[in-house]
Amino acid sequence: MDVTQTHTAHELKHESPLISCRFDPSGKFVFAGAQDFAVWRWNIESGEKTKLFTNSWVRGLTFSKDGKTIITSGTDGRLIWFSLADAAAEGELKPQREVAAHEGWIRAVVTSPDGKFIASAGNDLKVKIWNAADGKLIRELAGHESHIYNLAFHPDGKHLVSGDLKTNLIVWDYGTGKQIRTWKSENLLNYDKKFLAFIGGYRGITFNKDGTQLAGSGITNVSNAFAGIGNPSVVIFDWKKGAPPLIEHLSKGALRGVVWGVALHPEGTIIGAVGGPAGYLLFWKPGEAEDFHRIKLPDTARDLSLSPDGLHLATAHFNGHVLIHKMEKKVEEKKETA
Amino acid sequence: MNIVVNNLAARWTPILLAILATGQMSRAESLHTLIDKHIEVRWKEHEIRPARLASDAEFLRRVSLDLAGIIPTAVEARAFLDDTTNDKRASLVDSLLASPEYALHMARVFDVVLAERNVASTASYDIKGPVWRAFLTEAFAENRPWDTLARDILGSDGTDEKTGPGVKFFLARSTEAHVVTRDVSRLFLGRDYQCAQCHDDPRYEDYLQADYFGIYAFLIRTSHFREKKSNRSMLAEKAEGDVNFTSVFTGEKGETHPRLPGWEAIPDPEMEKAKLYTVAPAKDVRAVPAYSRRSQLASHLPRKETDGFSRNIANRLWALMMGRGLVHPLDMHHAKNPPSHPELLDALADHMEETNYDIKALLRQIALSQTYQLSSQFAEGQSEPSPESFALAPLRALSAEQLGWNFLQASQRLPASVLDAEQKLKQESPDDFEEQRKELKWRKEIYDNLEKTAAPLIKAFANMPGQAEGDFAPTVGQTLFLLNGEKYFNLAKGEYKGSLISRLKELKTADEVADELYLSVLTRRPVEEEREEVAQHLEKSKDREAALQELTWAKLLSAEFRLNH
Amino acid sequence: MLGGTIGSLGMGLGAYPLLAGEVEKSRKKLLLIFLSGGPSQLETWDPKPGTKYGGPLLAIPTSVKGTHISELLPNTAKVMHQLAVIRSLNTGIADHFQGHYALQSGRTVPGFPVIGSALAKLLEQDGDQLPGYVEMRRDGPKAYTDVGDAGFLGPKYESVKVINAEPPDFLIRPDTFSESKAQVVDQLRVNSDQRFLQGRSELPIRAYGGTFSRAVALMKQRGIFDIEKESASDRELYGSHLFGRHCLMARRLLESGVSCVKVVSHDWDAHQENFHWHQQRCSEFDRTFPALVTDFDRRGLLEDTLVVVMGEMGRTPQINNRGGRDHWGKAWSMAMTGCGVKRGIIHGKTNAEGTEVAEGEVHGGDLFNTFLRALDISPREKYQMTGQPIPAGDPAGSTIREVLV
Repeated sequence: MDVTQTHTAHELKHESPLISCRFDPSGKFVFAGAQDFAVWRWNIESGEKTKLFTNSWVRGLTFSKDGKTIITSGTDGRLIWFSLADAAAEGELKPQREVAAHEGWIRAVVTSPDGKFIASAGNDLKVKIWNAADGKLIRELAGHESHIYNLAFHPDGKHLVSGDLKTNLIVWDYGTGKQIRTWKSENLLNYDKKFLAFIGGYRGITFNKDGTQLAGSGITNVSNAFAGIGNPSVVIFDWKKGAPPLIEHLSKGALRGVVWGVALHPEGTIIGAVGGPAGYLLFWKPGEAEDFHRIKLPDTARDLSLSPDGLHLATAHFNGHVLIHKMEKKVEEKKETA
Repeated sequence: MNIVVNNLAARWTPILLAILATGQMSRAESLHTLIDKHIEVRWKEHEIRPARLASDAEFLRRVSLDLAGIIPTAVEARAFLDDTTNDKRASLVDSLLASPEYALHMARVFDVVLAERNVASTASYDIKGPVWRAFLTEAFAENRPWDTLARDILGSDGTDEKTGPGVKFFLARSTEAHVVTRDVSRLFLGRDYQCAQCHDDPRYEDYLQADYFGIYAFLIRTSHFREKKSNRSMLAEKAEGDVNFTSVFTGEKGETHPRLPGWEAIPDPEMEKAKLYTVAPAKDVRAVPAYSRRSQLASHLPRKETDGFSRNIANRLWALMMGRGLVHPLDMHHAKNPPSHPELLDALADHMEETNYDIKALLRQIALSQTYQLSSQFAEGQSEPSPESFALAPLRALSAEQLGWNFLQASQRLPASVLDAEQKLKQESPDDFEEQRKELKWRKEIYDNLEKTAAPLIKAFANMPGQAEGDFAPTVGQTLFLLNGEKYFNLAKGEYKGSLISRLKELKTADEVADELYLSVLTRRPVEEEREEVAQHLEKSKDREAALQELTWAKLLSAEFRLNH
Repeated sequence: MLGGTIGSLGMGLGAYPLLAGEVEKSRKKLLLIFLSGGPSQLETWDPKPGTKYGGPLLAIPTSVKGTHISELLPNTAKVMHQLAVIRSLNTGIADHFQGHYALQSGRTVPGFPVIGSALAKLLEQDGDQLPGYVEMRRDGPKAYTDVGDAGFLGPKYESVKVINAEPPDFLIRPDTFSESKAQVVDQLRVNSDQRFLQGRSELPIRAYGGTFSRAVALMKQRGIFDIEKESASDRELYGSHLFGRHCLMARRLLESGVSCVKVVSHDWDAHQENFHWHQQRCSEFDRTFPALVTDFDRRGLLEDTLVVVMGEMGRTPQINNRGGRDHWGKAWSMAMTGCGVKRGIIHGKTNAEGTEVAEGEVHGGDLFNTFLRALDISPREKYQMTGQPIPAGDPAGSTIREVLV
């Protein structure tokens, strides 16, 4: 892997703006939530496209451990299970199970490391734990006071972290429903005194592989909340110590925008996808505040996914495209130079 | 006479012809007697009995406010009232017109007339108030002819050292071509085309629409330009862009080149595409066309040949002195709103043209007229004459600026500063003290230093941007500001050197106090009843200083102080 | 002659009864709730869920069968039977300044009074001591809300401004200036004015003197700006956020005899993250507005008070690349209730994707004239101004009869 050689390997096109994306566990497919009330699946190699009609905008996408099921979370408050093993009729997969899970938007849904549970959270300030296999509600976790933006299971299989608009992070023991501790990262929150509103929150959240670090991403230094003028930011927490963050990763030179998705590469690199006046992929080395490499994307980015093989990135874009980026030297170039 | 006789004036032709004869006969006479003649004709026609002539005190206060913006000090008032020479009123007019205050006052007046308290929607892009007023002050100090001043303003692109600040006229209106068009018409030609769109005569409407877009065509290519290096606002102009319009009534379409009312359109010169620009438009570059339509406006509009140009300024200067236009409202020159005295308006307009737009000369003639010098008190048993008869001096509100500065003047805050500055000047340059003292620069500095004190009061009494100062319409908010905004009471309270209170305190008798108080605040000596009131108030009060403050404060809050009468 | 205004000052400063009770009941009033910045019609009154530009939010049923509004207004949905909603505004203005002016004045030509000032004039009664028009907004940089109020009606009809639920400035006499001293000064001032009146035009002198008595009345009555005087349950009903406090103060003012109150709800200008913004703004609105409607109805205030909810424009159906909606004047919505207005109706509609008005098109001038009609004022009533009489309503505008009783 060489991130400085990152290039576009595939451009998967759709006509409606995209707001989320995920690689499936096999890495062969990528899924993206679109503003046309559906999730779309692409076979990355063949480009074949399948529709998953959700009747809502989907920001949360998660998979069963075996990769045979996807669970989507929508702005209509429903979780939907789609079986990916089914043959798609007329290019469309039918829902397997629908659960009215929350009041209002569900902004995130994630699967536990053992695959038994899924967690969802949204605007009703609740985190809910579900049985992944049958969609039964197991537990409701209350404690947030602003819209919950994101969720992440800790690799230890015991803890779940939820983060909200006002950047409160709550660590839950999801087996018992107890709150273990709460953190905050105020750099990712702005109260615009002129417009009397909060803006910020964890747009992206993720643990590193061994669970020693947690990354949250979003926007900082907001000077105008209406125009969304601020700078992209990724904060890294030490899992043991909690807040304050170990470091805030910022762009080199004041780039404008939001880090809508963040990934912690097993080899250490921190990766963020930026949406703003322009789209960017930013790469940081651990411990360094400014990015050491960046790629300007053809359009503003809305989400980021790291492939299971650790070699690819997917970004979802407003122009309806999913870009698959390969983080190593382009093969054709090798041939030409050879 | 104006050679352009258009259909607006046609309605008045019989009268115009009748007056023409008398007008020519009167040429030998001075304008101020002509003014009185024209006014008297109407009194006789309508059997109106005018008010008596104003007393010296009434005249002194009024003419000081109108020509210098501030009332005289008690010392100055005494000197004038006790002066027994025959031509003291004329001498006063001349000395006021020659004073530095004249320029300072007229700059404040024309700031409001021309910018109408507008500020660019991005305020930092505008010309700063003091810079703009300094530009106007200089113009009035040198008695720059109105056509020249109008040309300086309409032609300014913000780059020239001398006329640069004139660009405020455009910037204050965010260089929006429709807004500028409307205000060029209103303020330089006396015609509000947009309001007149309400008229129900479709022929009239079309006529106006073509005129409106004729002026618009001069302006449509002009835009705001911010020079990054200097952080200065300027105007850029393109060499292309035409005007099309559609009548909302008839659906007829029109296309027009720049054209002034009563004139043929001015076609753009034929030019090769490559030669259209002196500086071609580009990013961060101020475009300058080889042929500027806006410069055409600046050179063509301020001329006597432009229908309405002379009448507008004559009418505005008349209104400045008389509280009301001969055409009123001032921007409503049209057939359905004829002048109250068409022949007089023509005489004033002619005078402007004959004197090459000498503003001072016209103001002087008006101030010398008996009409101007009438009292604001009507005779016992007389009914109040209509305002358009000019048979009675009207009660007019002090403008926000006049009120602010006269608060400082009457409370002696301003005269005390003048005194301080004079002492300093005497020490620094004892030889040419008298000369320097009369200099605008020296005088202006005193005002500039007090600007911060006057500003909140001016702001509280100023109209909203874009709304012309209309009739007197006092508000509760303003009165609350006076009553409870401690700052101004403190000013009257006079806990500073040379304050009115400190002066009154030194006086022994109640009579002396009454004299000094009334002369300082109301520019007149008190009547018997008022002397008694002062004496009684001082007598029954245990705290003499508090009593003096109460008397002063009450006078500053009185209608007599608030109004120009 | 003088007794009426100036002479009464001699009676001491306590003698300024408010017009209240019977007289007030007969006077029509306006509460204008102005959603400044331009709320999205799609996230409020005219949702289009599941359509191309509908966005992620849902529509919910309301107390009017068959009528749905945005899920962001669940409480408002319950009082829908009290409201008349217009879904077919085409004002053609996609600009804050122009929109603020045009929607409030019914004109695009500058210089006309906004509805609050117009009503302060048109609903004025002899002997009024309180201001006719009070405007409430938050503190902040000079915003596009300040488009000028009274126009040619002059400063007398400008709004008295309440900022951040605080009483207007200068209502309290400075400590250094005692009540008795104020009375002494006022007597001297009145004496002075009486002498000055002799043989002079009365109007300006009395107009000026009148501001002193009205100022003193307002100082005495500054409690009308104090919502702490309202019950704890009413304060809870309206909510403790600024919009809620302003709405409660509006009720207090209307009940005290102010004929027009404008409450500004700010910052609907959602150029980015439109749905997030509307979640915030609508929750504040939905917390208070339905409570106000029910409360006004219960207190009988809706019988003589017109309540209008509108912004200066709507927002584009198209969702931009920041998740925002931009300025839009072509097809948008507003709501009203109270006197003269039919309840539980929808007027007009937009096409399936909300990009154009499909039925019952309404222009800015029509709205203004309709407000006047609802308040029993003819849009043809004329202001007698110098120069020429000017009609109160837009002569080119029509009245939307369908929404009037």
